[in-house]
Amino acid sequence: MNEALELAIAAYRDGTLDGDGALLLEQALRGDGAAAVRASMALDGLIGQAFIGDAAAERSIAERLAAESSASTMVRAVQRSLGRRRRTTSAWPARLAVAALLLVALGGAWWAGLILPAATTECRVASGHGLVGRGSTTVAANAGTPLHSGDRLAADGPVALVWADGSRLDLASGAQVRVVRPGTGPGLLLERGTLTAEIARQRPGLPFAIATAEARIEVLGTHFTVSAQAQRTQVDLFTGVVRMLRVADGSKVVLRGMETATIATDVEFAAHALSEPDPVAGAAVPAPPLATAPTSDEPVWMPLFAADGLGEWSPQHGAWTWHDGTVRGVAGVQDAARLLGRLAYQDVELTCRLRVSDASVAEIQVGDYNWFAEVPAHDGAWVAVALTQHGTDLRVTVDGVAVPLQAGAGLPPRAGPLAFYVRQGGSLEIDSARVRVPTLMPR
Amino acid sequence: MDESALIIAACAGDREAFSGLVRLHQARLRAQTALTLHEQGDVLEVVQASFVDAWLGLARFDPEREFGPWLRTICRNRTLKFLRDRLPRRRRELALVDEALLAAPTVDEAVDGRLAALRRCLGQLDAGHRELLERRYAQGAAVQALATALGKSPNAVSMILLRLKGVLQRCVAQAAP
Repeated sequence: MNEALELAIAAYRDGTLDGDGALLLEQALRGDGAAAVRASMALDGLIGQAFIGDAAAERSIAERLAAESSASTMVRAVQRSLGRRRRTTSAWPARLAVAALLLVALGGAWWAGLILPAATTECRVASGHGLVGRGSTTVAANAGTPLHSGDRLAADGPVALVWADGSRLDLASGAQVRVVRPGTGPGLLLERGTLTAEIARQRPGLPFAIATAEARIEVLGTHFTVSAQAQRTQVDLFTGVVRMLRVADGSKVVLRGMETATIATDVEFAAHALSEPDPVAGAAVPAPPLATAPTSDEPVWMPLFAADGLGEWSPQHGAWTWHDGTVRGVAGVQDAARLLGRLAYQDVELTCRLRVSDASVAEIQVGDYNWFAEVPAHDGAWVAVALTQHGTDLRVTVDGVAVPLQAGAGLPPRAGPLAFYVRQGGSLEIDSARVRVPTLMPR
Repeated sequence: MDESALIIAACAGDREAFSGLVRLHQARLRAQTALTLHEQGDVLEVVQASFVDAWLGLARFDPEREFGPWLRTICRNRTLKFLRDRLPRRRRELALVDEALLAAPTVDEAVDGRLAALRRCLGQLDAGHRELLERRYAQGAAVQALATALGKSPNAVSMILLRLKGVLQRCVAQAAP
């Protein structure tokens, strides 16, 4: 196998694969080079496994089995018991009993050492490389590396960190952060360097916080840049609302869209107009900001697709076109077609018309494939779709009839983009699509 | 107790017997999964979940049939689900390759023999090279991080790894043709 393919495989493994490498690898996997590429990838995987002892693997499986089976056995026993009483017992005490027994079972398993207490993963490296100081050891961090509370990360080049709710920090090369919660909500300490933040909407009272030596920035869902230099911290806010607190005296400044403030000995601590967004050189180019809500009390409907096309969307697979407000995606013979939004939503309402052709169903995916609903093809006819996600309540109707939801990641509702998907050989048209999001309430 | 006795006892709810089946099959399952997934943590997650699926699904298993193929099918489905589930979270370039892997999943029936042969071949390498391979493929160190640690260029590290893989590939082919 040629060297370029081997380097592409290595980059795929490291999460640094670029467009040319991806194309090379994909074509090889779908063509004559498939066997060689697979053999090389397989050898990588087997080498990794060869270094794991059988006893360690067996122990990890045994621990997982013990944890899962003790909990599920307990739940089944309770369900059988409750099933006999269902006619005379209201549902809530029963559910509480299941929950309590499940907790007891899991707690007992933990106490017995069957579930090893795991370090809490606060966020993950989405891209880039760095070194993580963890206790007395230092490990390499690459795409996918989980960061635990207390870890210190030094960015070797641009590094992106993501949280489970979709919040994202882009660290400029040379930045150093410590994964500690500066406030009541998630966040970290920026020890040096610059980062750009896109923060998903946070729960009231639990703001995302970024701390420096001089400042704490509490975020409710917005897009901004923090720069920490020696005895100087500057925040440039592009959208949303943040509160900036000067550690030295506790004074606070609230920044709104397109404002900046600096904490330093020679500068007044106040909000000033930001002439134009100017992310610091060297930082990763930030993606478009989170979908922020209109400032009026009443949410308004907005077009899902911008008037000039698919700029806010990433056609991941298949061919996607926009014409006069209607979007059309065509899947290939072997590939599905998927159109992924770049704006992250938590609570959202969507209405649109869909037409599915040459496939039995299409999918609307919510929260970055957290959950999805299948929209059946109606003999090539248009159907009206309505989707609502409010808190834990997610509903989808097609022509007024509720359709069942399917688990992608299957996690509790979280901020993330919407996506449209149609399987191999099919096509999907989207028309009259509009969304509205609830008002974001600044603290 | 032989495998068929373990299967019958496990189907009757004997956890110890199922542990015996885990001992018999886990290495092959890990090796099979590692053909498609390359992060150690991902492989272990999928294999653990597969054994949990198997334990919970024993009531559906016909003890007259072979256990290994049934288990490997569960694991293969788990692997494909893992790949598909992570697609939306992957960068576009990585997702492109993942989709190509999904389109034609790897199947290797002789994989356990290859793993044993690979262990023997690794034992023939010098300690420095073995450590480099362990850091790269078992601990997941990036080429860039290895290059920094070794004071070499990333290209130089890539070439060393490429050469070592070639050596191992030839050694395994001779040992487990």
